[in-house]
Amino acid sequence: MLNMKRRDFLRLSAAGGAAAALGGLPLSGLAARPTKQQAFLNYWTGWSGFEFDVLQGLVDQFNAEHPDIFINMTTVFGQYDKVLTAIAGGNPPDIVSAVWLRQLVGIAARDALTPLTEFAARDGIDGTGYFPQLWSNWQWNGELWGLMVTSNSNLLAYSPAVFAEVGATEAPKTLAELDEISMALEKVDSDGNIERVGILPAGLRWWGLVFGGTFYDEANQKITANDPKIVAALEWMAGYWSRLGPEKVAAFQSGFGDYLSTQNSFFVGKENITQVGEWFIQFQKQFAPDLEMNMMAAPPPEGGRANCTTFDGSVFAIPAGVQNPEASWTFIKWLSEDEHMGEFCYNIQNIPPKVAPASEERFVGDPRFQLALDLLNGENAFGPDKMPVNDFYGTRLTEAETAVKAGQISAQEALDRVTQEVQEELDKTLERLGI
Amino acid sequence: MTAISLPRRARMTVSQWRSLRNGLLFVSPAIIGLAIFTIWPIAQSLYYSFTDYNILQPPYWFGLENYEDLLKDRVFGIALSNTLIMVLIGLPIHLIFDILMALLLNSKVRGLPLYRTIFYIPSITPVVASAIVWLWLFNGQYGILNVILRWFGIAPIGWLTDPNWTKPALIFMGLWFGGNTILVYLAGLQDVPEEMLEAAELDGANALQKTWKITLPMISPIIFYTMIINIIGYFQYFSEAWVLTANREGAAGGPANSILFYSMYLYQTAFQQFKMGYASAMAWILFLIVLVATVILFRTSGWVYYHAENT
Repeated sequence: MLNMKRRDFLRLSAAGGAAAALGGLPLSGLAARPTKQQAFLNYWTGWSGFEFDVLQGLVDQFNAEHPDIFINMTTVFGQYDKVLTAIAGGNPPDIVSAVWLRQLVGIAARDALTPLTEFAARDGIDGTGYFPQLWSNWQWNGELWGLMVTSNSNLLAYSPAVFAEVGATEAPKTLAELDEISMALEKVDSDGNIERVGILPAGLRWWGLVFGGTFYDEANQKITANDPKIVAALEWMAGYWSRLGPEKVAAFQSGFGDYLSTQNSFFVGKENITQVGEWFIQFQKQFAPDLEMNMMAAPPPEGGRANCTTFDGSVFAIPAGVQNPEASWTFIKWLSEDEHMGEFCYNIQNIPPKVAPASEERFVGDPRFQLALDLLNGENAFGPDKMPVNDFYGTRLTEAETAVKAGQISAQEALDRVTQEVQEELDKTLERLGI
Repeated sequence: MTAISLPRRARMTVSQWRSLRNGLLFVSPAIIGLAIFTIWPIAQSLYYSFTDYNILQPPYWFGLENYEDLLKDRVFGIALSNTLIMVLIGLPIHLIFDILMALLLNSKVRGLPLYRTIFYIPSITPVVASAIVWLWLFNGQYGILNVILRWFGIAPIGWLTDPNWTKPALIFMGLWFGGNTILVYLAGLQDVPEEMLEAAELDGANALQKTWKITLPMISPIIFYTMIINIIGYFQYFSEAWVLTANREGAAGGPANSILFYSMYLYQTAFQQFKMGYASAMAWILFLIVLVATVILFRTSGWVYYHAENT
């Protein structure tokens, strides 16, 4: 090697350089290239799998109808952090829907998004036709920050046939009735190992609201995780764990099959009352078509909220610093039209955030979907709190929930701690952001 | 006293200067790359550790506030203690296991190359892919581990759902990845002088005594090396625990944060909670911890026997 002649060295370098250049060529994406006249927009979506394919069909339709714009869609499923780093790096996608509603205020407050207020006002989009709770959740600090094209509703799925086994002929209307049915459904063997349960309640954010609690006092910017009703909700949830045994529940849950399969714990009868969204209807048709499945709203305790649901979801937004926000807005507006929104939502079994497409027969022909819709359109439909530390709040609540269920700490102590820690974080953030 | 005169530095000849220049030109891509992609980011992170920086807006200098807040951060304490448990308990278990495996794989049995290959292959398997496979091995109902427990009449364990079992699960999983370390020990075992072992055998030493008094001291420099390398690696424990516990919303750390490790909390703080300055402070504290640990190890390395120095 050391004795290589200069000519041989140059030949080797040229060959190596050519190999490196060829290796860098993209192997995919050689079809459907944009032309020079088109505005080339990168759209990062959080959808993947069959949902991505459905959306790609709509993107292709948009591209065909708009010769001056080419949308290039990429999935960042499970990698939403990439959106922030791309914006921070000054190279954001032109359109993004990989933003959860609960993150919207946090990102907007940190100047990472382009407000849509003027675009919407100019094109007559003023919330008319949208579910009111949804429309208000996209506004903050006097601006509109995004539009949702899909939405969800939380409710409980159950099997009437299994209910009949324990003598329950209709869905429970109160929490006490839910407890009674759930405990009747439980089966435990002689060693205390769980074979079947009714419900294993999870998600303090939802149950806290069902119990009538409030997580955030927006007017006074106060965290209220230790609201007595939320404490009561967590105590009720943890009661299932302490009664069945935390280790037994952990072992039982670790035996659940893949969620998106025929082995889903509800489909195989391990869990017989399960918390889902209306999108679960599609899963049931696909993986357990012979199963008779009904849905019900979460029954409240006395003093709680009836027909209570929560919603989150993907928000279509325009990052700050994009080159052609007008073109980005054109796509978002197009996808938000009733026809396209309805098409997308129907194929992935989500609820359209607008009343008109959501009320079409293909949606509400299924009474389960109608129920989900009614909950979303009701007065007890809650979106994420509008404050800039939702992710932090969410992780601390999850930690508190699992610790209380594991018997490590009481519900009151855990939620007092969450309140104090999240309040400190919120105060610092609000001061820093000048809000 | 006469003054000491220092030799005058000789001026470089043109040929020497050209040689130096060409050499520097050849290494310049590496130096420039190192400076841009390693040294500059390190310096930046030190700066950010003294600022409030959410990566979306310019950093705001506020001195030691990040470091003060870390001392009061309860979850930081959990992440640090989980990491220390992994370093102080998981690492010794892994090293002892790897030494034992290396001793076994050094014995003269049929099919030895096959056994060595079997033990080495997991260490070259991508960590993420392996962790996903282990997710299924740990499955409470279908996982092979609980199936075997059921054969012996033992109740299934919630490996990744019971906070008491999550760290043992990771330590158990880590045994599978020891191929690299086993290989390093194997290399060291080849250098143990046969004549010493024969002499010991003639003096009546049994296998255990030979191993304890001769083999292990002879490979003690290798043990010391793997200890240093693995301590640095274990303080940065991330991939396996993240793959096993991260969900779609980005939360990770297992039930009750039982396998929330230092690097995971750092990642969450930086990229999910908009606190890059705080995360940078965590990174520098980790650097200091690892530095102190390494210095302590070196200072207490009297048990290492350097055979070449003593012959």
